[in-house]
Amino acid sequence: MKTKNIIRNFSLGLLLFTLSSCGDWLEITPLNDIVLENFWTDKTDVENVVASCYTALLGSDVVSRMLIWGELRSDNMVQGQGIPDAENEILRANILPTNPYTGWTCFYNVINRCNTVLYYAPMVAQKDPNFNESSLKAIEAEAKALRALCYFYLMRTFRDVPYASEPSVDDNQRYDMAPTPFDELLQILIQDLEGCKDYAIKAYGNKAYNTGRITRDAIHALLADLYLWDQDYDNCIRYCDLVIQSKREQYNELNKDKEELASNEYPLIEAETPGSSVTGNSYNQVFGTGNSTESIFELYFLESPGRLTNTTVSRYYGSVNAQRGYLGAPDFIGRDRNGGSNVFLYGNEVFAKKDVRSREYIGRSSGGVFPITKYAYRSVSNENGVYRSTDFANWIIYRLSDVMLMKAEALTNMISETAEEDTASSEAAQAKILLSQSFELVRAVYNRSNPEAGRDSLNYTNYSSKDNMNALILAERQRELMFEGKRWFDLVRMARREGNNTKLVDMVISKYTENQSTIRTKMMSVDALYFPYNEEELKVNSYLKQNPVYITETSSITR
Amino acid sequence: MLMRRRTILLGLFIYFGLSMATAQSGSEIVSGKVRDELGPLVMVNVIELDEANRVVSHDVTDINGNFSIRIKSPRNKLRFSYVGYETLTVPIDRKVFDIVMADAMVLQAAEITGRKAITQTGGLSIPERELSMALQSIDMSEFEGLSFTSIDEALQGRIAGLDIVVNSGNLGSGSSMRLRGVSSINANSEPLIVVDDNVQAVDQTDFDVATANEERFAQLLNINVEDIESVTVLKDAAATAIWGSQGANGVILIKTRRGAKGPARLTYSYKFSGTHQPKGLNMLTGDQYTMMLKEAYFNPTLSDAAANIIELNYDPTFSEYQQYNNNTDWREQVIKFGQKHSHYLSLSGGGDKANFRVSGGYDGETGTIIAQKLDRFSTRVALDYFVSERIKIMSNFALTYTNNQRNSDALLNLAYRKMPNLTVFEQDIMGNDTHEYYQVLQSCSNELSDQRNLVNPVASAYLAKNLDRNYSIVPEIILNYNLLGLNPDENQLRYEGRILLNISNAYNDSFYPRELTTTIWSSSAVNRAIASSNKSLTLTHRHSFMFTPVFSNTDHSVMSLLRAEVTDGNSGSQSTTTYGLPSAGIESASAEGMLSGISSGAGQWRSIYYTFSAHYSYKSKYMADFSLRRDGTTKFGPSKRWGYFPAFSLRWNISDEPWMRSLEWLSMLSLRPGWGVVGNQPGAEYLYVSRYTTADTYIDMPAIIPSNIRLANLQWETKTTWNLGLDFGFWNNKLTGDVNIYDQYTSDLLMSSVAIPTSSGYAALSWQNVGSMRNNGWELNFQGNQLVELGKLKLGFNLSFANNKNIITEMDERVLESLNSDFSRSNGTYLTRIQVKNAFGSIYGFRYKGVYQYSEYSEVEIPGISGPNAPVVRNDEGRVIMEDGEPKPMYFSYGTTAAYEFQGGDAIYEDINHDGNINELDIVYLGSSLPLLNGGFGFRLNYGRLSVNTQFNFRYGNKIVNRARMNAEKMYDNTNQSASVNWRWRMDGDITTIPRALYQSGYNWLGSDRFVEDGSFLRCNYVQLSYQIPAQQLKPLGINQLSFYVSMNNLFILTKYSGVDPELGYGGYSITFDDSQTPRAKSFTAGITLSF
Repeated sequence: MKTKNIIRNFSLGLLLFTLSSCGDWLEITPLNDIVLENFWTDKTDVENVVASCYTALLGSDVVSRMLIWGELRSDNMVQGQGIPDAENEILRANILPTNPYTGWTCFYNVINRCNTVLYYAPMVAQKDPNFNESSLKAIEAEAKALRALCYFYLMRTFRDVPYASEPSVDDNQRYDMAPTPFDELLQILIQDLEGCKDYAIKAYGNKAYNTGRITRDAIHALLADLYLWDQDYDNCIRYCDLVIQSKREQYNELNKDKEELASNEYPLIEAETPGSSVTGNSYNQVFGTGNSTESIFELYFLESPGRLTNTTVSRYYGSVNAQRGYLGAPDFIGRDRNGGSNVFLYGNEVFAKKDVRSREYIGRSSGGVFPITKYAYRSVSNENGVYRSTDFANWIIYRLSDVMLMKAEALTNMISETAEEDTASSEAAQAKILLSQSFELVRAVYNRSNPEAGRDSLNYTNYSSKDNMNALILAERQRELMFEGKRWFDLVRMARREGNNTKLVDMVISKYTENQSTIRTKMMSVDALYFPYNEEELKVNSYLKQNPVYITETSSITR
Repeated sequence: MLMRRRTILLGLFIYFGLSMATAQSGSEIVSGKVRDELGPLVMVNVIELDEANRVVSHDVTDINGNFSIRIKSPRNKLRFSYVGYETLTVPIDRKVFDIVMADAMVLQAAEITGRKAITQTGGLSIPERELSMALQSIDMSEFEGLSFTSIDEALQGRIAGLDIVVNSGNLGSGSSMRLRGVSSINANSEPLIVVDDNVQAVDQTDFDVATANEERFAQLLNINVEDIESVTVLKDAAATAIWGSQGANGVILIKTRRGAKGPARLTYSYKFSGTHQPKGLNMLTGDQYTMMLKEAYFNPTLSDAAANIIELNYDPTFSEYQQYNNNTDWREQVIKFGQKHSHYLSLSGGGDKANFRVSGGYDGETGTIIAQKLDRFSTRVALDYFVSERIKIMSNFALTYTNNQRNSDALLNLAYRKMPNLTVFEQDIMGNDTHEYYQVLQSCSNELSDQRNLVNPVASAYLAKNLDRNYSIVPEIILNYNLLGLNPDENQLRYEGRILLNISNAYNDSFYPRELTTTIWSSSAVNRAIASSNKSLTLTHRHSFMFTPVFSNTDHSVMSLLRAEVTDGNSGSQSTTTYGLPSAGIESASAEGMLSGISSGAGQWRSIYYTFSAHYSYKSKYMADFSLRRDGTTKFGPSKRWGYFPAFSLRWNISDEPWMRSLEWLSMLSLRPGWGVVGNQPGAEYLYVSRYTTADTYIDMPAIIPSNIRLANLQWETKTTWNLGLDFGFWNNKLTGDVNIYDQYTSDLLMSSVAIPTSSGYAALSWQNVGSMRNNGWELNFQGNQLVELGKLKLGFNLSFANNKNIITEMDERVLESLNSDFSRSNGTYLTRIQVKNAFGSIYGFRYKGVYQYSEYSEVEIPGISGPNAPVVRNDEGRVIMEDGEPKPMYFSYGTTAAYEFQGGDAIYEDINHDGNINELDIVYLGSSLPLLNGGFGFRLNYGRLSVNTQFNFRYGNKIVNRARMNAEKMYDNTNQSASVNWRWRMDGDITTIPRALYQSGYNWLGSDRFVEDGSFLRCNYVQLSYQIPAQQLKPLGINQLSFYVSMNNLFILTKYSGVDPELGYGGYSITFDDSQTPRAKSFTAGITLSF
């Protein structure tokens, strides 16, 4: 009896042992997250991750880099109020590999999310019958475009960057890789987009989506930009035309009851409110409200508490609380808001006397700083701006006037170098056509912001050479796209085209009041157009070799 | 009552699945009569007991002394008991009994157990003289009468090799502990705390609510020191192996008091402590400060305009003139005399069937910084119930409630930085204080923007709220069951089952009112309230079988233990933030306001382990121990999930050998070699799965992001330890001690955030195994209890020393690269290098050589104009190098953007390579943060009923970077500076060691040996005097014991260190910095203990 009991008890005890020895018991899954094995089952999962690619772009680290990489080094920006050291060092042409803005993680984060979508979406298509071929292709086009956009920012900033097209999933993968050379990467991106552009959605049937997400127009605009950097002007023009044509159709569709736009007119929003002469109409629609008819792709910040905000604008440009941001416009641009002249060749004023943009984009000088007001103003009425009270300005990446000026630049640069030597040649005749075509584009952009100046204030005869036309286009791009993160890239593109930095340095140096000669020397090297790789990145990726201008040889200092 | 308890217990048996299914085997009725010499006895208890002495049936005698009972089995016994009579037990060998009970004339003599002294190890109960592992224990009776908030304070300096550093003097901030140095990079390095064989630490891996480090270490606060009976520290792997991965950093076993057989005893004690802050740096007065600041602004550009800052001008026309013309000692404003009252009550007792102990304590404490208050209530109930000789049920219940009113800002730190010419209260035009606290206005001069962000510390203390409340409830039930062998001469098999619940709830409510911010109303910093809470629940059940066979040859003895434990825990947290609350009177986050954030989280953890351990002893002379533990964790992927941790140790009691017998003075000499492996796991869950988390929406599209790179290869960090120990005891163990030499090799070191190329989209892998390191050292420990006895005078002492050396033996090159930073050419930073074959904690920097007396060089001093001590380059013979007839000037980082030509009044750094350029090539090794030696000693002196008790601890041979002094002497920004800067260089010719003031320029406070100080110290932890009133004088009052004591804590500290307290945490791969946290307070305590 007794032993029986003991045996029974003992076996019960052992049972407890064995019950608990079940290894699966240690298999716990996160309570707040979904694991890979349970994810990627239907279309919604794919769409959710696509949305996260955009969310990542909204991060202040991404938007501030679009600004800093794209414009901080240019002649458009000087120190404002309370600028942090890192930004100030870049302004002072002293970029060290330790500068946080040499860090690119946030862009690769978007890239990795796109890669993840591109890797898993085809598998979902096999599982989910609702996820058909065309939706898959459309989503792939969207992810590829966002990925290409990120790489495009990276390569314009760093020149050669590592190209990853696989998602980062586990620690068995190798993450150190050699950078892909600039031209090679440009071809990869072009091929990638050429292959998917026709699958992209043309219109989502929703105003916010049409400009806030990648559309076929957005891919065309991006391709035009890529071709422009590739100096493949035919293709650039082809894609610019596609975008302009599409915008024109959209305009005609929206304004069915009105007269259709002629093919030589552009659907730009007029500066003056229709029916009155109050200016600020185009500013309010494009930058104030956002998602304008002129917009092709912009980062959409939803004005609602608890949502991601565009703090880049309020910190760098200004807000109702602090009207002087970290940055300001240089004096030679700022003083134009008080009235410049009508001569636009380099070396003189940037804005004409009545150009509404000078007072929409730049505020009145305060404390020795011309504050930047583009995006920071919620609305403008007759050149009086009202600051935003919340940080929800959309950040524009491509809009129509940008594409028009891209086309003008492509047209002008199609002119061969020999054309001007022999004025009678067919090349010269061709050049004339190209010049007048590009002049028309520039004038369309210029005139809408100079409503008082009259249609012919910009005189073609002043710009009838290739160089002058290029200068005009560059100046118009500076005026039109000022503070949109474009100017430095425009200058770099010019320097690449010309094979030297002389012009670029001449332009940029004008904002410096001291150390001009040191900065000039520093920036003359072609390598100096690009940022250094981040020091931490070099430590963990042995394939990366530092840009030679940033290698300091401290051990061999001699005087 | 008793019956009810029994039903509860019965229910528990069913839970354990172990209830004895006693079969009914017929029923017989026996009857009889009970009487004494005088006649029948009424109401005598008659109980039937089975062989395990368990009560199976029961009756009482009637008025004629008759009883009749239906017995369960004739093999059982009958027991007769009656108050005042001796209990009688008889076998059931007949149907009718006639029982004569005898008067209990003589009290039963107390049973004296002949058992050997047992030291708890958390596993087998091994006699002390047979232990083969490295451990050290302390009986808490040694600390009776001392005022400690938690046990770690009492242990300081007592355990060889255990380094305890109090985190800060803030209330409830706890301490951090390192046993035998740091043997891990990022994995947890704190030793495991085990209370009554239960792991105390709550796994808080997945708590995201901003729990500051301070609280994490303060877990020991949940145990009232008065409840502790003894503490044992397990040091080597042979000892900790049965705790497996949890015990990798050593184990601190705490045993709480339980009831014992005897009359109920009530004890009350009261303690009062007064605490005050030790004096810190002397700071500048308002007048001295403004003078210094004006120089600092003037010097870089030599321009008066730069120094024209209206707040420093004492200009009566300035609207804020009265607010900026004061001499405020901010430190004096935030410190105060702290008080602590502790009440403690306990009741204990026991009888044949049950022992009990109930205790409760209340502490009320105010800090040495204003507006800090900590209240703690703790209670503990321990109950042992002996169901039968086979079965024992134990139950423990502990509850602690802590209410900690903390400061919202680091007040002392603010006090040291705040400008002293500023007023505390806003002043009217006549300079009289109003009732409003003054904050620097947003419209102040731009140069003072850093001061604008420093809140008024007095205002913050009284207006802001930061309340922590913590409830910890730990109920436990234990069942002991002797499956085999009730007698010592039988094979014994014992089962023990435990169920433990650990419930912890923590709440934090904070409010930051408008008065403390001068930003606009719409800012999210205005009237902001945060309410957060987190709760966790852990359920542990453990099953152990202890088998002790009996051999016919009694020279051999064996004990073995098999144990399994399963833990399942979960946690949840939430936090709500609101701002823009309508008024400062409304402080709750649930009030109407702007909601700026709601977050919540949930966590879960599980673990399983099995342990087998065995002890063998031959004649109690040759001992061997073996243990093996198998640990399973949810933190690794399926293939790496299980870890095996074996340990083996031996002991040879040399003094028991016949050839040693002649040495009578030697009572113990033994040798203990041991070897073992333990593991360590990362501090995060879900590392091996790819996780997808929800993210912010885009437009109206919900978003989900892949949030990590899964770690398929992550595995256990393992630590292999060799330990060689020597125990000795002299003169009948009047003097005992032990020496341990050890070597620990940690491989597969776990490191968090290992940087990877960010082109992967991620900055780092959350955890990786990156390399290995070695720790070796020795420990020495002496105890002399009543070593000297001269009549009434008794003297005892304790002494411990320890040393630890640590070396990186192997590490991934890229990991090393990313850990080591390059010289950033900026002030205030020291280089750290982690190199293979080198120790952690090395400090590198420049050598500071004083201050340049002149800007202009001349061979012979021309007073006030030029002199030889000027910034010129000298060759290695000390000759000035001339260039074009001019002396070559000294530069900092020439050829870089940071280039700077030194001037008179600037710091002189030694130009090691004589190249005329102070740069990274002039950086040298300045010392190590790791001490050569640490330890402690104490004395105990008894004279009759009077006793004096002291304890000291010390550290020797480590260097500290005194960053507090650096920040108080840099004269680089607007923060207040120490009074020593009054000696600064002001004009050519000044001979001083303090450089000139330079606002935001120059290189006067580069990381140099100027701020590296010797951190050696000797601290008197306490001196205590206690007196016990003789028992015979108390008897008439019905009091058993009455004693008084006074003690001085942190009485003095002998050190060359110039900061407040050199006892600073070290470890990890960084160097030791003194950041002027609240230093440990000095205190005195007076107390009384009373028992009935």
